Amino acid sequence: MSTKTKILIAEHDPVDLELLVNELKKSGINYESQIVDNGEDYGNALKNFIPDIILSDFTFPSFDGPAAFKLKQEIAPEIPFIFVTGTIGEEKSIAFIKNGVTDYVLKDKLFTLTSKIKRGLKESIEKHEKNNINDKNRIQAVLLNTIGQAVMAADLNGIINFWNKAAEVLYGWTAEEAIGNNVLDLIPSQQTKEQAAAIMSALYEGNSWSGELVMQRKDGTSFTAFLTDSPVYDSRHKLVGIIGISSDLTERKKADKNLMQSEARLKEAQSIAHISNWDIDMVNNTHTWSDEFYKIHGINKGDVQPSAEAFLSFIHPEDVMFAQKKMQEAFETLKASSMNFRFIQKDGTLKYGYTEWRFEFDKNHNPIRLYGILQDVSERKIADEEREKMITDMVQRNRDLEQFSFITSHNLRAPTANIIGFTENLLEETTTAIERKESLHGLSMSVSRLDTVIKDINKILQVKRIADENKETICFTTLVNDIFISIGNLIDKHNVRIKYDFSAVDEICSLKGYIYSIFYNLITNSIKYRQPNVPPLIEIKSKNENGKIILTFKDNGLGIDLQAKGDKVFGLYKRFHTHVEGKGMGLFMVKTQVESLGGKISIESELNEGTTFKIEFENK
Amino acid sequence: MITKQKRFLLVDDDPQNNLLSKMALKKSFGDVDVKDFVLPEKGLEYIQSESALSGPQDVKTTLFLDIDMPTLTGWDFLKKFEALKESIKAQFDIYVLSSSVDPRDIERAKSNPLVRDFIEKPLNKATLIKMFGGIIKLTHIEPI
Repeated sequence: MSTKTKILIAEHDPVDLELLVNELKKSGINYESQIVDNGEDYGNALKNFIPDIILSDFTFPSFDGPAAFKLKQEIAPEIPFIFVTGTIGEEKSIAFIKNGVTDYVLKDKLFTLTSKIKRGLKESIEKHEKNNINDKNRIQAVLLNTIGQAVMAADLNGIINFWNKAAEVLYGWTAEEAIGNNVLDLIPSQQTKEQAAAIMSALYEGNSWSGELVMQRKDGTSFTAFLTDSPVYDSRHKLVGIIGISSDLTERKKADKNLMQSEARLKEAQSIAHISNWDIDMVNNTHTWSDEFYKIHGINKGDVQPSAEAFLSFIHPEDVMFAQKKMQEAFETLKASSMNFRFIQKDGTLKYGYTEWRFEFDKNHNPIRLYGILQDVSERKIADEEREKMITDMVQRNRDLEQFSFITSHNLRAPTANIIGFTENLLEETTTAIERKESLHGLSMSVSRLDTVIKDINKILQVKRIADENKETICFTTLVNDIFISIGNLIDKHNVRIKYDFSAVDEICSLKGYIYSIFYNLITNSIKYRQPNVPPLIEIKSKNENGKIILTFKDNGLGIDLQAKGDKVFGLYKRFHTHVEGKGMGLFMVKTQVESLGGKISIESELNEGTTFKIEFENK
Repeated sequence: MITKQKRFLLVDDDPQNNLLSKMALKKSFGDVDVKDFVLPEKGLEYIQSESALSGPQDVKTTLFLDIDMPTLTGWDFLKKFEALKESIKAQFDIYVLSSSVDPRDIERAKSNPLVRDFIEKPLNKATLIKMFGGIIKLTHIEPI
């Protein structure tokens, strides 16, 4: 310290004073002093001189040592105070020291003065510094009290020695209640006591700990807290305690739980509806698929890295081109759109998918994100198909009924009416012999016709009662060659040419009798209704389209005016040409057989331009 | 002596039925003028030709028309007939003669203004008497 030490000396005896001053001079202390011998001067000096240390006699004529000490305590308690006395007893001195007097020096042992002054000053400085630290601590304590997180400190035994306001609020214990208690007894919940103890042990080994722990409030309720506990070291790196900061996670937990719950619900909804979602970050070109997306494709998350290529690889080969085009279109137009497609699961199962997407743009209208849903619509699709098939069947059945109503009204009723007419004639007396003969002949003809119709109906009904058994693989090439041989006479006679191309599909699993009959009827039909003077040319082709086998029979024959007769082409006993024999059974039977095999037949024709029949069979 | 003879046309693809109808007409009216066509197209041609116009103008020709014919149905026949000149149409009384027992066919025939009535096959004397009861006598007009 460069400044002089200010010493206030209270002494009324000049001899004693001289001895004291001499002693001070010898001490080597750089000092200045003020000397007082009464209470008034002493009081002023305390206020104005502001001493660093006071040396006071014990007894004055108008004043005394204890009074001086008392006054000093009131005005400046931090100033060290030393009695310089010859009369004080040991016991009394000790009592004074207990009350805060720094020390005492006996007048016959003045040689101890210097060291006592020095010690007093040193203690004072230390005390002052300590007060400074205390001030700093006080600021920090205010700081700690005003922050929102609960802060507590404990010593090495876990005894709480600091507890801030937020801790009071969070745990319900006031600082007064908390301080002095073991932290483990106070705040961990019953279930986490052991864990808390383990954390404490770790802290004592010098490790920090942070994490979630269920804590307990004063009222016994528990909550999840986020804790950060750190060991505290003194300047010599000695562990002296721990500090814990905690905050209530209940709200965040609740929010987390809500988020998790809504995520779980989304997942459930996706799973039930078979709807997944996908997302393309167009800036970073990263693809994201929801869990359901993987599930729909029958793969595990992680098996496949999401990408446009990976997505295309799931799509049915026949739909890939279309899907690619659609995707390209989307990126060019940046418009929301959708598509239906087929895809194949990892195990080979064919599924029907529907995807719909939208773009997200930044404020400059640049696309930044493409997102959409992908739905497995197989169930609906299959149900739709079944319903469609049911409706088709019902419509067909209704048509069959109408057909039979027509057959009853006309085909059965016509010969019956004739039989009635001829019988009446035979019964009538006025009928001549010639008329009788004619009537008998007519009757016989009509009965035969009736029989034919009944037999035909029976044949038709048998076709309709088709069973799936007896299906076999039929080779088209072989079939056509067989027919070619069986109708060799007809072929030669009319110079018929048959061209066929079964390179795409040459086999079908079906009922051989029906397929034969269909081919036979269509081929002979073409020959029957050929153009006069034009050698018949029949072209038969097969192809595979959308999983169906398509057969076409094209001829260069007479053709049919479909606008006028279109609805009757496949009707029973419908004929359009009168120059050839035929009772209108052929095409009716072809249609009946095609339909009973689950297929469809359609016709394209123009008068004098030939006819093309198209047959579709499911390729199963 | 001029005999006003009744004239009949049969349009039906079934020759047996035409035979029956002819027999019934003969029984009812004796010697009658009956023409039959198994091809309806030929019938239409005949109607439009001179031969149809050559007969007596004051007696109408009765046409029995079948419905179910393969190349041209009775209904199609009626459509084509409707397009003919009024002077030709006026000469014909058309009856649908069908084996059909389907009420829809009967209703359809009866509702056609060109059709006088629907007659169920076979055509017989009883039916003809019902149809021509009052007229039969007229066919045997005494000579002037």
